[in-house]
Amino acid sequence: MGPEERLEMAVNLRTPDRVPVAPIVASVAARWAGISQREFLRDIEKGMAALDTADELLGGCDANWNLYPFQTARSLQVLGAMQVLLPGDGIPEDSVFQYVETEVMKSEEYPYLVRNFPEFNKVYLSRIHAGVDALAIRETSLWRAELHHRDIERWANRGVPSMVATVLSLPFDLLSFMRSWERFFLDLYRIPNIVVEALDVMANSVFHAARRAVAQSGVRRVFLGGTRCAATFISPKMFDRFVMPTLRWLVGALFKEGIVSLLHFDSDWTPHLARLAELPRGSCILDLDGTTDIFEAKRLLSDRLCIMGDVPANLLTMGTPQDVESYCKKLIDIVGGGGGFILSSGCDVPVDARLENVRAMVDTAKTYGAYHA
Amino acid sequence: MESKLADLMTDLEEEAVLKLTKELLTQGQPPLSIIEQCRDGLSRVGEHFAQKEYFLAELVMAAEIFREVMALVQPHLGASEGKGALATIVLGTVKGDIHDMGKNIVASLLSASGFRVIDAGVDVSSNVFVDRVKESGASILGLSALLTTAIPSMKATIEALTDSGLRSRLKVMVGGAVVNQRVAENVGADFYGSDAIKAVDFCRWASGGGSGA
Repeated sequence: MGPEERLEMAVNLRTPDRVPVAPIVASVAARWAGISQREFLRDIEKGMAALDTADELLGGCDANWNLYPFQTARSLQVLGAMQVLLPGDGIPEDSVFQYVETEVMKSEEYPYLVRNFPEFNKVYLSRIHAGVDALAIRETSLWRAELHHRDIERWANRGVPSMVATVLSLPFDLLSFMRSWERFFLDLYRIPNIVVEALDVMANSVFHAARRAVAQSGVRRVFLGGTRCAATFISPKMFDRFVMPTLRWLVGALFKEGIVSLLHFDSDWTPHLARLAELPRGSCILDLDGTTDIFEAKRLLSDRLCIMGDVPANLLTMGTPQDVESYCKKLIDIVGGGGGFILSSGCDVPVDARLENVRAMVDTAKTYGAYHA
Repeated sequence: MESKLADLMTDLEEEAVLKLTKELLTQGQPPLSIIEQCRDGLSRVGEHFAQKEYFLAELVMAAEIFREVMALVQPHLGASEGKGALATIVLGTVKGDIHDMGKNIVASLLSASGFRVIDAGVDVSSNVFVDRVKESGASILGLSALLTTAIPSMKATIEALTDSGLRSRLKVMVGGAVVNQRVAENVGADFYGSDAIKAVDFCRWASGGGSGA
């Protein structure tokens, strides 16, 4: 069975030949290839070669986690949804890039955002990225799409499917980046109605961006990031008001077009999980980072959504291969039971992860993860 | 203690809290009593958080309301009133990491709870932490990190405190998304707080202010 079929069967809540495995390998690839983070993000050929090397070192995974085109220095500096500190530019050459969060959008700008989000978004990008204008945004979008296309083809030639057509954030998270998290949480109390209006408008824009990327790339999965709307941050009651309506609409509208939402949900979603049961069966991959109780997710959602995750970052850096193996076996036994599971890292594999630990994850899926007919 | 102000604070009724604060000040109620009632409300907010009825957004709102109350009350405080902080705490995100979400909410809640907070900022090197602790006479240090790569900086900071002879009079707490009990032990911290309220509880306990950690 090929990797794409394996992934699709898991997404459709069926049992493939074995549990698919797809750790999110990004910055760590540079470390393993012996190049700095600066080179990784700025030298495209070296960056892609590092990702190839990582896949070889791991013995081959079931998907190309194609975040790279979205995380090159150029993409981050022009199209990134937050201001960024790049390695070698304010932080050391071998640091991972980090986001800077400030109140960029003022509370009085909500009506402008609601009136014309695409235009407002360009204004926002020009504020967070020095010297960026509409032309730079258009050129970089085209450049990124071309790079993405090349990346997808390269992996397809080796028989490895790409995971996502594009990388987007849920409207709630995107708005919190624009406002800064503290200001945004106060908005939820002080001006809830206009926040809801803004989220509706942004959901529509996210939908169109996702549909466009699927048409361009041919990949029928889109990455939708959500962290700020986790229960670490907001109550289930707030979730019902500010997140669930747009999430339900967005996932449903994409699914009608045959597009699967990869819900990359960091932080603790446990108290919100029951709500996700109303999303259409097979419409999502729920990708958890080790903070949410993934076993509870399985209990509540096993007949609705494919679950992905969630070997924790600190296990990959500080644990032993035996620790990783035994955690993966537990995931395979419980979350993998009956299918509908993809074994992965909890969020990105951290840059200082030990190769033998990530390798243990991949090997365990291939050996222990077989489903017996 | 029955207090409408504390109740309104607990319910995060921003406008009503501020309106009542102004009324109480006009009526000549002692400013310290107003602060105490709001702190009482705030500690109930903390209880709701521990019960998972409130979440981080509620903590942010509570800290904001408290800040606004303090701004109203401050001009009415006498020169010596309200200066006796529970303890001094230095907080910061360690070298190599610029994430400040966790640190900021801990700082707001600690200062609302009556501690003197010295916020050392983000990407703070071990010698800056040592200097801040020395200058301020802090008895508690809080170190935050979101990146696994910043964990060695936590360890280096605690080692630097030992080398400069400050470690023995200092309690060190650590927190952040990649930190857990195992990391805390590994870097030589005294306490791991999985959320902001646990950090406040620990500081109360460590400074002998009751409410065990």
